[in-house]
Amino acid sequence: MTTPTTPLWTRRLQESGNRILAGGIALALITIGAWLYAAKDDGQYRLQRVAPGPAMISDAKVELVRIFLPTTVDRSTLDPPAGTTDVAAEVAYDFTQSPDADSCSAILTAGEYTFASASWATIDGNWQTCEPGMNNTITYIFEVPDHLVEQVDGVGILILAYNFDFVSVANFETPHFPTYHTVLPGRIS
Amino acid sequence: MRTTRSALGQLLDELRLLFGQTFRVLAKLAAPIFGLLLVGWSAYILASLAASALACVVPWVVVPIMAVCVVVQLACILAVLRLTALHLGMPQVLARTTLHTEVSDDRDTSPAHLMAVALLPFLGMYAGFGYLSDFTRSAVVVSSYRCGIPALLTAFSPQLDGDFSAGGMSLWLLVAIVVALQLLKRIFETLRERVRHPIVPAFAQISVETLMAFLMLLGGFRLWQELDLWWTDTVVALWWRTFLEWALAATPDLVVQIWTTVTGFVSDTLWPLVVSDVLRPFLWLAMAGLVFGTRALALTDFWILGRSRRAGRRSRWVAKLQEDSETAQGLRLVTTKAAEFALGGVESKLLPAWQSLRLVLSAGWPFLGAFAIAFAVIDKARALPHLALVLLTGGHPGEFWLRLWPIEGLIGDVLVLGFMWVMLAVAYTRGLSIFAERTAQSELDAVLVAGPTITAALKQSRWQAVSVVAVATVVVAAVSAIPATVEADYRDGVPGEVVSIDEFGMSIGQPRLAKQLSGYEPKNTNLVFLVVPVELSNPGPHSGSYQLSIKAGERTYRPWDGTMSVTARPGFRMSTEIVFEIQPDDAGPGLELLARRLEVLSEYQQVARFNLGLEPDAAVLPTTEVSISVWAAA
Repeated sequence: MTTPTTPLWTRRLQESGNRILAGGIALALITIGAWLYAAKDDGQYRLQRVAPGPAMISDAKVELVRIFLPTTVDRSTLDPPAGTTDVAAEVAYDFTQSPDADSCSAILTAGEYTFASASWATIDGNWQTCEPGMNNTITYIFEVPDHLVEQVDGVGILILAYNFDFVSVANFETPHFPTYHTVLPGRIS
Repeated sequence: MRTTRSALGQLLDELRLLFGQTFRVLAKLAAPIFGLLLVGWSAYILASLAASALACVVPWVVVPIMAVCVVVQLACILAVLRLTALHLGMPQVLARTTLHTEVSDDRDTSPAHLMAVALLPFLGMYAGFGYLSDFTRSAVVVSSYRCGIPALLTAFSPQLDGDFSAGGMSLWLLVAIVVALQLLKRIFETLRERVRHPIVPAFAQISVETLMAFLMLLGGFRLWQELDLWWTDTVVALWWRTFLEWALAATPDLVVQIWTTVTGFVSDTLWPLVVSDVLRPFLWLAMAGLVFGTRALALTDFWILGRSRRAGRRSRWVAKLQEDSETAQGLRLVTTKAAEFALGGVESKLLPAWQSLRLVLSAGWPFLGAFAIAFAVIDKARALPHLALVLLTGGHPGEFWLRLWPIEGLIGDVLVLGFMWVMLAVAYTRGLSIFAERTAQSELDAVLVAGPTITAALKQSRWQAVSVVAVATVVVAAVSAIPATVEADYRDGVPGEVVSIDEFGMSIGQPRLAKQLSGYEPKNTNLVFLVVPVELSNPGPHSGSYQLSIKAGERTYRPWDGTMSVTARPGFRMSTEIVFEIQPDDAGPGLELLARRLEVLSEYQQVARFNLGLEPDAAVLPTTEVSISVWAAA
């Protein structure tokens, strides 16, 4: 009967146990770091701040003209929420060089807060949106809690691609989720 | 009585041996064992990370990555088992059986051979116990969190109606891919048997098998759903339902009640106990045996050979399966070959696991009882880090738990499972030692002929067996009954009181009961409408929605008009009234309104719980008006 011996590979594993452990710990730390970095945001709703002035989103040009407090707002039968102020933002867009650009939407940023445009409110009763192949200026209305009006610092624009579907509702430079709002900086004038 | 004491003493001795030996092995081999498990754990987490980052863009890339990472993790676990087995002196144990010269085993000399031979059945067991589906679920959840839609499920969902506007793929494409992968798997399997160095085809085969498993988990289940829907709509199914209804109506209430109680006990208590607490540990142990090599499994071969005339029905069945594939002709040949093509050879999956299980079960009641208890204790310990964490930190939204997920898993999956893997190797070695001790005094012939049968081993002493089984069952059931999870972090309140939940504040007004809702189009009910005024305040910058439900004992009511959730935009508060339609019997004390955050990933959440404070004889109004939603700054 021969005496069984420990195979070479398991002997190597045992002998280099500390090195394997060190490697395992290093890999685990890298993994945790990568995980925590990736988990910083949910990736669905990102703001990409750009410099003041005109900004290009793919072939479309957008520019924040001004942010102001309108004297009148038409919201048909609805009352404004108590404790809020209407803030308007004028945005110029140029879709003439961008055949895929179909429409756009906007948010108002105020520090960490973001407010979607109040689609039920307009300056003059005419609802506006970006038109394919056109260049124009449109005005969005936002309802902002009084105590946050001073913090308003920009307008985020999202351009929707032509023939968009469920999956590709996004800036057409990234035809998938997550979606990016390009934030044009500006203060209330 | 002396027999019982002796049996329980043996049980305790076995338990002491299992735990003591496990600690001793860990003290000696902690560095390589935990190092390997950390590598395997990192592969698992990195695969989930890849799923979260890539599923939105290139979901097809995610599945092979997941497959490779699972193979890496399993390979690390196998290496740990093998390392432990060799440290425990498995070759010496096998030598004592005098069979080592008859059977050669490449597993001893080459880690690649070990992986090639043992990974496949290991993967099968891993999938069988739901680990692959858990992994898939995790990947789907993190990718949904990241993408906003269940991108992985969407990408692999077969669209039977040919409408791909919401993503997905053609059913025929899915079927073609599965058939192609199956073909590829068989090619690798054949290559593995014919080439000089079978490692590469073996690994390729295992990767393809894993890939197929993930594909079926992500898209194949929809086929089953469609089949189920089709069956539900058939005339035969309608006849069957009608027959059942007729049979139920014709059966006395007492019989129905007894039947319901018995089936409820079997499905809710007995079946989970048998599968999870009894069957699972022994199948895991059998799986651990696969890495011990053919010499260990050959023990069972010789043992079965020695009593071939008395071979059991199951052994004959396995033998018949093999014989069928070798001698079949005509249509039978086609059927057999098709089954073999779909399922793979029985010898690669079924036989090794079956042999291993037979060997384990022959070790006697004290060992089996002790192992079941040890497994239950360690299995329960795996849930404890999560329990400790939720009790320490309290309820939080899903993002919080998502960040902690790998760290939390590190404790359960590396430390506790590491202990489990070592204990499995210790237990298998112990089982084999018991077998070897019985046969050590005999010559080879005696081993072949006089080895104990399963039945004989388990019936050494009926009274002893009964005592051990009773004690082990009670202990395992008691350990299983220890709660390992807590439902939610309840924040209690009453009408008029603001309850803080996450960054939100929620309050309810006095609820009303009514038979009719007035308004543009009055609504009546044969039951009772319960109208609850709700205010949700969101002073912070983050969004959030809450699902509302009414709990009345065992019953749960959702909003009558299908309202999914209430939401308050950042910086705003929203007041509204939610209507529930409830049974008149429930319209009294004990009604609770629960508000639970609506999120893709929910773990241990904060849940607002309001006692509605209704009196036993609460007035039911003939009619009441329901307010519309009103917004204001928070």
